[in-house]
Amino acid sequence: MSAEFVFATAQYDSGDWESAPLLPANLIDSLVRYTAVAVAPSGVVVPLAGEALFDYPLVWLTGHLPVRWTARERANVTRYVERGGLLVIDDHNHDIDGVFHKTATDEITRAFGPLVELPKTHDLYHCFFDFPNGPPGTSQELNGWGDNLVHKTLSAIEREGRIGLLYSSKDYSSEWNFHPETKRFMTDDPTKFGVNIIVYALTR
Amino acid sequence: MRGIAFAALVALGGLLLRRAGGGPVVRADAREIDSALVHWSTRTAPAVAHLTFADAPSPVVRDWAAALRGAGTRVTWSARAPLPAVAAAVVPLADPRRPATVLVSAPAGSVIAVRDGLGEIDSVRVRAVGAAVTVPRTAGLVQVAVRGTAARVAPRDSLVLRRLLVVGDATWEAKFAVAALEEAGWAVDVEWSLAPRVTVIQGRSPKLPVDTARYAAVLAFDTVGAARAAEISAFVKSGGGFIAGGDAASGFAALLPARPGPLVPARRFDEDSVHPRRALALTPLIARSDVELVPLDIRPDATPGLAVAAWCVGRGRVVQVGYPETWRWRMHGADPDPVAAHRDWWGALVSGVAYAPPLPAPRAVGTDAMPLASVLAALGAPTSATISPWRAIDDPRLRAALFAVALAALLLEWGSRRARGAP
Repeated sequence: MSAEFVFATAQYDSGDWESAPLLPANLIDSLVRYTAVAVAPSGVVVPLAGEALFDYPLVWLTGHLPVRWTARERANVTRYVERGGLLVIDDHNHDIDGVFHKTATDEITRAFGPLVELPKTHDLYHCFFDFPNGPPGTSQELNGWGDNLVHKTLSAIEREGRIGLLYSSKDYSSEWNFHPETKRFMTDDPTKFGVNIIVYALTR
Repeated sequence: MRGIAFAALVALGGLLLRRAGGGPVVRADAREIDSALVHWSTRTAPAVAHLTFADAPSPVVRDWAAALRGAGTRVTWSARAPLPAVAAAVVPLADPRRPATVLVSAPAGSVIAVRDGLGEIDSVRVRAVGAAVTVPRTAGLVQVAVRGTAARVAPRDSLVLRRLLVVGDATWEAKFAVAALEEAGWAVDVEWSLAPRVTVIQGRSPKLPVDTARYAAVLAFDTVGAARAAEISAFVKSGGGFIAGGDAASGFAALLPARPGPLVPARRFDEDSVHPRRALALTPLIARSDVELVPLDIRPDATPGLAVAAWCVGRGRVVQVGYPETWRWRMHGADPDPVAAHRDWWGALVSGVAYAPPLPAPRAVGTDAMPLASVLAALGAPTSATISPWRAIDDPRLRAALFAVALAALLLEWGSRRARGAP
């Protein structure tokens, strides 16, 4: 019986769900590089409206375009979170005035109620690597792209004291969407926070 | 005068003979019983008293009647309707959220109502000879009533619940089992082995020795904890619990009652399945020849189908789980509430093995665990209500009056003789 972690990317009817194609391989590489977690060498794409969603308790969702879930997708997402899954939604536009942010947060609010900001002391920032200042910044934020803001926090929907849905305006989908080999030219690996997200999902 | 005195003495003698032979019967029915007991104890002492109960009497009434019986009154009793034979006991459980179960014996088909000092807790219809009702924390005495007859019981003692320790890799099985146990109210320490020489602690630091002073049970879902197998084995032998799930079997073979068989693959969760665990993958347990195990879950759709088994090692209990991925039940299950079902299942497994020393409860007053049995012990079997009724001649004042009449007549007779100078 395989107990491997499999990185899953959510496929939804609206929008460009496949907009960060290198991100899965990059996070898988980081997981192998920094941890002993058994991990499948490649990720999977899982339809948000399908039963297969429930095979993957951590799913990554991103895009630039409007997010409008179908009734089936919305029902599945709600059930997924209530049962203990962790859905990570990252705004690939890095723009709180952009269509992804507006529509995604609208969908989240309809399904779960308002998002709540996570404090810097949250387990997510300390469960493997330590991020005392909260979520690490991205080059998009520092270069003033998108909404020209440095987002200090991430937001979440929590169930039973655990994050069920994590929302990011920081555009990690751009920040981590590079070939893993590129890491050897970097002084600091930006995907370390991605490892924290996966470790959090696997342990909390 | 002489005739009057003679007649009065004869009548008095007759009354005394009537009393000595069983005498008059006084009766009290239901609501009159309290006042009747006071009256019989302080003013008159009837030879025979018959009590007719509407329900089982309270311990005070029952004991008072028994005391009256000890004082010489023959006390008999009957009931308007047969009293239900109800008995109850509160047994502590190693469960943080539901720390006790009320065991009830009652006639088949009767409806029992369970309540405590704060109000109603539950009601249930008895199918055969009894029922078990798991209850949250109770306040005061627990009362189990059947048709107005109530057994009142107090928990014998409570259990000291210590923490749980989970040792192993970060896997979905371990993560969801820990989540289920935390939701069930257990305090869980986890030693996640995340990288070579990198262990992440969740909860309190488990670096301390694993012993029954700190932990109720240890859970392992892989072979990472096998390095501490000797320590865990000593923990179990001293009374601690151990559960091996996931892929832990090969790491703890000496502690476990079975070895895993060939994998039975998972099936699609059927929408109308009432047996959700049959959809899970299974590594059936094949019992070791040298142990006597207790099967806890058998899958009839698999051969061999032993899915969960337990046995004792020293003073501790060990459970081996043959389902490597129970988390899929929680995520996929089609039960009305698979999250709760998964949580309750894991909670029950842990409750079954957890080391939980008892903490004696203070002695409670006013308990009456077996009302009918107590009445039978105190007052004997019920009698039919055919005893002769009370009549005016049974009034003790009549005896005093007859004695006074006889005395007065004799005095008058004596005075008359003296006045006449007769001898």
